[in-house]
Amino acid sequence: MAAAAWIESLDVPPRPTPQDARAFFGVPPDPEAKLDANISRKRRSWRSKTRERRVSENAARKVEAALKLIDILATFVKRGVLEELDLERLRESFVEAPETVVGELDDLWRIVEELVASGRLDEALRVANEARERFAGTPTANAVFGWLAAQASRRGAETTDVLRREGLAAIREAIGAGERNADTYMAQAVLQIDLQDGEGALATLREAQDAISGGLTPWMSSHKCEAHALLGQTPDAISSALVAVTDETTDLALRSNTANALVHLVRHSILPIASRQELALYRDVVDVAAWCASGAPEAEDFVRPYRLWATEAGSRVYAGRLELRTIGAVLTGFLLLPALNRWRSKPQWRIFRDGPGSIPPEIFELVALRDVPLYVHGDAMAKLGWRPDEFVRAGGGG
Amino acid sequence: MSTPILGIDLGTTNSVVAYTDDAGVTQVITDENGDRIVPSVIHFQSGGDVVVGRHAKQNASVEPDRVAKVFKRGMGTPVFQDGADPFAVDGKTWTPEALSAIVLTKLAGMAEQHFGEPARRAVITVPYYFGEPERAATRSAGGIAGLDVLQIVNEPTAAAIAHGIDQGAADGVLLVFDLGGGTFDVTVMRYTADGSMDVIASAGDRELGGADFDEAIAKRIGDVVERESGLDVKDDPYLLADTYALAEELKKELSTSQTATKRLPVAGKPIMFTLTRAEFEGLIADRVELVEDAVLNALDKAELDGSDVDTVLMVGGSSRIPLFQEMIRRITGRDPQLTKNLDEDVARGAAMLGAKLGGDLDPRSQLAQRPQPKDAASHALGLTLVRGQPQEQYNQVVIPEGTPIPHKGTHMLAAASEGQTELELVLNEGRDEDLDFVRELGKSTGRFSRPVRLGHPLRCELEYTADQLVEVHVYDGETSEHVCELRVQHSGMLSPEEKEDARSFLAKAEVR
Repeated sequence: MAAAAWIESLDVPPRPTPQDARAFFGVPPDPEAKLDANISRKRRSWRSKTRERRVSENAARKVEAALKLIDILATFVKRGVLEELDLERLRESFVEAPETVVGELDDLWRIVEELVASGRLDEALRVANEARERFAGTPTANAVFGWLAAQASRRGAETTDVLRREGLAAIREAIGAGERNADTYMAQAVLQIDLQDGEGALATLREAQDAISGGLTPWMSSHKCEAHALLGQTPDAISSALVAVTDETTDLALRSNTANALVHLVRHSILPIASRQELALYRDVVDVAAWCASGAPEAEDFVRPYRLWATEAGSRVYAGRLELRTIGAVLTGFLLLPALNRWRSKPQWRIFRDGPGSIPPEIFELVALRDVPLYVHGDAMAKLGWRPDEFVRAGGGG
Repeated sequence: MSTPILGIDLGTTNSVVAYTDDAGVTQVITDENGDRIVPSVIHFQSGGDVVVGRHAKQNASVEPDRVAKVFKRGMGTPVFQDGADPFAVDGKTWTPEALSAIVLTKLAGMAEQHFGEPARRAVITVPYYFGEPERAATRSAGGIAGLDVLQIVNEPTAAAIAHGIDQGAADGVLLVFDLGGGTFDVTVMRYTADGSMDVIASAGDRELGGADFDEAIAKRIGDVVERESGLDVKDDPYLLADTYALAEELKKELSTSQTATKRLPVAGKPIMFTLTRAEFEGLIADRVELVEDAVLNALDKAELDGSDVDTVLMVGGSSRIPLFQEMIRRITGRDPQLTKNLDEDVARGAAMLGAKLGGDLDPRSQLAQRPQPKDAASHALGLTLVRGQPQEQYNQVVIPEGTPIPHKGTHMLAAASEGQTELELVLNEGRDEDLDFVRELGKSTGRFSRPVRLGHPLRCELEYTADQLVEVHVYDGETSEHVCELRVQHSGMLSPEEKEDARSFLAKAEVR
């Protein structure tokens, strides 16, 4: 009477792929044609757990959560829609969270990696902290803690600079004690970048290049791009991005990270565009970012509005009074209309930069008060002499 | 010659007692009213007497607080269902176990009346899903009623015996569909030409049966009454009882007719109520889905398709509903076997089994030729163990369900932590690994004479005896030193004093 493992299993990664969802319903090992039948079978099996016999309240709650999870993943495999918020809540409701015990120091890396992979970052941090006390001064315990702090820094919005600094101190100690490998250097660089220390991160990566045979890994190049972007060093950021993505073409997370770094660069160092040269620079960086993002759907979506602005920013728009243009055009039998347009037109980036004072409000509204320029200038709006919220209810972003 | 061994179907809504004579002929025993089926309903009359059966059911509307019914759903616990208050009359609390003893006393009394002398030996049936505590409570109820319970047998097994499945000439797969008044069981069994029958999967619903279908119709009647008279049937206990009685009549009639019409007197004025079979099927559609789910689930668990089933038995009164017969045909492609008296099949099978156990059968009778049925573990038994990193506790099955008993086995285990000094032994009932879905039957703690290392070998010896005693011993795998023992034998919910109290009540009160 042993049930197939997939029927009983409620294991699902925090961000399941369609393949994960199919495996949740036993496809494979079963063929695709059995998907619908397996979905029904799993639902029946879980529903029967409370119908067949008296169970504890905890078990009843688990069954309820399991049935909702089955519904969510069934919708995902059949319609491609995933309710991520519910999924996360449901996972928490039945994932057992026994306290982790580390027997030997040698097990520490494996245990924390497993905890991180299963989405239990807090438990991993607790375990790593405990290990730092128990195995005080050992490079492994410090390296693990520093690596986790970097993981936490990149995953959780609630990570504080205190944890980042503590992690940085631990990893420095580990490297100082001889724990020199790509993971530790990268963790140190990530923590420095997230603490806004671009120079420090570049120094770490230079040290890594000297210490590790084979030079920088693609991810290190991506972090180097981030550090240059943080410092506003556009050519260096672009070249590091090109190296990172050329060396490793299939890692979508790497593509996404690099594209995000370049977008950070344009938002903080280039926008708002103030000259034709800056427009050219903006276009170059965004082109590279779009190339890096290629194939990574989330990154492509992220870069898309910047690409649109790269196209629109250079196009010219008539910026004079419309009624004068009409009168002029009629009086000259429309012969001077092209000249009038050329004489009174401005590129969109300039209209956006100069604000509403110098052109008729309806023209400004048409050019500037739109989703795309407001979105891409989200962080850069402070550098402008005008505020969009004086004109519109919503907008901005970043 | 001693009196025959009784076969008792102690049902949620109805009970039946039968016996098989020396010639192998099985008969159902009737009560003083000539009823073959006794409603499992008890009315505690104000004078102290106790009425069981049809009259008690009728009295449910007069003194609802003094009437107990559907208590089998709570067997092995103090209450009838989760979250309910204990049932109490005149300050005395009655558990499902003690109430079952009253019904069994009534059935034993019917047998005594029939034979003219007491019949004390019995085989009592229970649903397959009943675990050890529920079975023990049933056995205990028999004891309180003065019965010597020779065996507790699964209802589907009894039904199969009644249909002679154990005398087939070939191997095959049997599906027993048992839709009674209060519970639904579906069991998949494998039978062989030598007459043995093994349960390979079961599923069901402990709170689904004919009473739920009555409820659905009663609700519809209530709506009509309210629309036509402005009265709420729930406000008038007599009207409510009439409504349920009418609902049951309509349900029964719709098993043979496409349309049923009945009259319900409301405040002196009759209201006609008509229900078609299609409307009835619409009213119970959600329950029908649960029934189909359970059938498919049993087949899933057995790793079989409907087409793998060779024989389908339908037992329990609600199997008469044509919709369920059609469902079975659709799923298995086979016509189900039904008897005219499908409410009696389980008791008849239990009686036949009893006759074989008693050994008084005429050796020339057909029944005597059939093999002796084997006793088997109705549920898996497991131990709570620890695994993985991070460590998690889980249930490891050590005696799979269906294991013939008596059974002896040895399992090698290992210490779960470095420097371990103590061992906690927990015995569970159920096959799930998740401890939330199994039932803890007992636990004990033992100490090592010295701290042992992680992975230190331990030898675990188990014995499951024919009288339902489970004994577990753990020994040090290196030194054979005895570390821990656990003995679990359920004897029902009630303490010896409570049992004695219930016995003396039954001795004084007249159970009619």
